[in-house]
Amino acid sequence: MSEDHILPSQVADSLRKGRTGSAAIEDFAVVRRYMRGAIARACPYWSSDEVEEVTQRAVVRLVELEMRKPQPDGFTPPYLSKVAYTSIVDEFRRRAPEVSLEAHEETRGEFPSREQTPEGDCRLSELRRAIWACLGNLIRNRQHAVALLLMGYKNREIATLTGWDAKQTENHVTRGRADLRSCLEQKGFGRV
Amino acid sequence: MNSSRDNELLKWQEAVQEGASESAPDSHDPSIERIWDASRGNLPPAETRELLDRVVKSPAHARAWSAARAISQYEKDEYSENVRPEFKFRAWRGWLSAAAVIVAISGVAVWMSMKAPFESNLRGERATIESLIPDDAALPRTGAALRWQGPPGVVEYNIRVFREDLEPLVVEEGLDGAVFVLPESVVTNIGRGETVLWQVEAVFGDGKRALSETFKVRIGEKSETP
Repeated sequence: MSEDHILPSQVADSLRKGRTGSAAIEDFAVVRRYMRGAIARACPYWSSDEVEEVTQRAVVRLVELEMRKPQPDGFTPPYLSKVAYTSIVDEFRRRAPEVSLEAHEETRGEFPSREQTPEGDCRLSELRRAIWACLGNLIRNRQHAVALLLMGYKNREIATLTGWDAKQTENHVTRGRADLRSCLEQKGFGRV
Repeated sequence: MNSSRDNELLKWQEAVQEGASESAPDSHDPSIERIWDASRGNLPPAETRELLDRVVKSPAHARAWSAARAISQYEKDEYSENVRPEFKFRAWRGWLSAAAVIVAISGVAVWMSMKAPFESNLRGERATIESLIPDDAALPRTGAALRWQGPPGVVEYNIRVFREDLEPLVVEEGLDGAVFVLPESVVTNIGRGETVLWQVEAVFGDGKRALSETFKVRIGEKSETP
């Protein structure tokens, strides 16, 4: 639904009159749109139905949190972002067997999928496992650089997070990528 | 970076970020909270790297980190550049009133168990607002009229109509009578047979207000009259 359907003129009128009812509903619509957008951005491989479902859970979580402990500063974007994040992690938990970090470290998260996957998904799953296996063999700095790269960070951000300077970052990222590429090739994953 | 290397990285990222379906962090894993802080640069580099030592061994935790990073990016994109002025304004001023309405709306989650007319008590005044539409009724798409019965002393009504997922469809204020016909522009956005929720607010002469329970009605389930 477009924002035009929210009747902005009425909202503005309500604000002028100090009648916050419809203004609050407008706020709610903004909150919901924000949550949905954040969840969709974080999980681009989910269907729109899945995103809707998790958005709904996130909104319910928001309401529950507000009932338990009202936010003194209101629902700021950073706060909404964190609620979206925890809702997504909860969804991960809901969809998969619960495993501790320690267990992950032993198995590298390689648990059988609950569903049969098409060939493409299997290939992606194999690549994923190969990446994690290769990552474990890199030297520490390159491990960190490549992990952050895989999680979507740019060099400048990697430098900020790790405390490296630009030159160090470039070095670790470049060498780390080369090491990963080489390792994947040895495992049968050629260049794209 | 050339196109081939871009494609390579995208493929790797897709493989890594899609991997959460196979495993998930423990519900009480404290690293989830720390991952959020680290992803936003709120941890010192040494702690971030310490956390990375563990995360590189756990695809699921890396997936959580990726999600945190993507959400922060979204926040940065949306909040700093494109968010409408009133969002920023209300983010610091009107959220508590918004929260109050959200809490009221959250009653939708349990509305199925609420059959009796809702009585609100605002500033000592009791008021009952009842829907005049039977529970299982389906209104025609043309001229879909929401009707209700309010208490004496009401000077005007406000009405809010929502989808079942709480997405607002229309808000109308200052109604003289106890009826609201859904505009065609709104009905167009409602699926055939879709159930919508509606709630009425009565405004009394002294400025006091009373809210109804959240009612439900289906729209356009039956064939339209030509």
